Amino acid sequence: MTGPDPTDAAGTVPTWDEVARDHTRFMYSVAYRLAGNHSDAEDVVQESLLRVKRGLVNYTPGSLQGWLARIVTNVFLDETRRRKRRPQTALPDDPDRVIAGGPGADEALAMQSLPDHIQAALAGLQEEFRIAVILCDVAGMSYGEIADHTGVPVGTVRSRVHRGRMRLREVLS
Amino acid sequence: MNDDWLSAHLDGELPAIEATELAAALAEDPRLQADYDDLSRVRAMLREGTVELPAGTIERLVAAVAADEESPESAAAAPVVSLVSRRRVPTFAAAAAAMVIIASVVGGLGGSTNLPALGDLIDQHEAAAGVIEGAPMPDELHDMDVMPMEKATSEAPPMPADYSMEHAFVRGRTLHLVYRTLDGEPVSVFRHEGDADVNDLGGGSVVSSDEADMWSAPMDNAYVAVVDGTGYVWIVISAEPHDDMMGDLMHDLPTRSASLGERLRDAADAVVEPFRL
Repeated sequence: MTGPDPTDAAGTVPTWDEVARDHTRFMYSVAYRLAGNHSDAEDVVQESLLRVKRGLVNYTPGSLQGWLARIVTNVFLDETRRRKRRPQTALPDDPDRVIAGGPGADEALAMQSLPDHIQAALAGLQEEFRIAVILCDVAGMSYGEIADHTGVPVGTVRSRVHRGRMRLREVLS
Repeated sequence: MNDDWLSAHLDGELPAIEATELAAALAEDPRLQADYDDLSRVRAMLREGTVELPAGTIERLVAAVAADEESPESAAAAPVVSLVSRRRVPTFAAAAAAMVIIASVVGGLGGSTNLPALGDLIDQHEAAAGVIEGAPMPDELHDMDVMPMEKATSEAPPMPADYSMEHAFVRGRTLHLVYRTLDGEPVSVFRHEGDADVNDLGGGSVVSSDEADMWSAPMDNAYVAVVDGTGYVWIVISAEPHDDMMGDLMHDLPTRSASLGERLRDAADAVVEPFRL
């Protein structure tokens, strides 16, 4: 999932069709790990694709997946911030959230490659830890890239990645 | 050594000297080695795990975006608004029509990907406003560094004399200046290093001059203005219930004020003026 970014070597700006064809699955993976369910992940990806389409003219060749992950994260944060201000709807990132009952068919399908208890623990992480872990381990971004995107020092990123993983490790043990 | 050396080493982010020290510690401490192995397993699980999608999901999402962009309706109006209002399903299960209207504004705010998430900045503004009222420092501000007022004053744009600077925070490339007007209204001015295309923000009003472009819109309980300056993007946020006040005044700005500082003053005035009436 975090393999080499093909545009790094090419140094060219891809077309939107190319991004949509080759990277929507990557964007979906990031969105799903952030949102924790398919419905919200689809909304995030759809909005992200639109922003990609409009933003490609400003894209500077480099880490395309890093750029895409930043867009997906921004969309997710915009939506969750809005929901936080309207607490009548359940939040995916509520630290006290309890994953009730078994997963639906879609969720079960998506969790095939990631144990349920890990996915649930990931969804239950505090937002800053979850984002740091996902940007590092799902999007494959360096600490420096994550720091630049989230606006916190590299040391804070390092701490968040570690603390997030430690929480997940507690679930494993 | 710090605990987070373990993860940093796994990620290849630990400096060589510390890596050497960690290797020695791992060799001597079986419990530390066990922690390291566990973290390595978690990391591998996350990196190798894939999300299996229901059939046709990607094709459906791509087609929805392509269709939205190609429709005459979206070409004639602010496209972000049209996308959200015709989404596959209400975004994030939004139930109320009012919420969809707001979503149409919020949904466009990532068009300029250099900008921090504006929802985050609104949260920071609201948190700072609470601090002005005497509330303890909330989580939104914990990760920010407090900038000395003298330095903050030198970094600040020209502001009206009756605006007093109350707090200044900095995080990464973003400076957050918190003002209070004579009426007690908090106004946040964010200075973010970088550029933005305000025409990509969608859903709001855009005015342009030779010096800068400005975008503004109501978001939730706040008014937000984004000015694309030279090397900096300025974001002004304040709470105000008059939905179209900011947008209307923005259109007068190019002729009313030439400098960025004056334009910011006008933006702030637009937000707080109703409280003075």
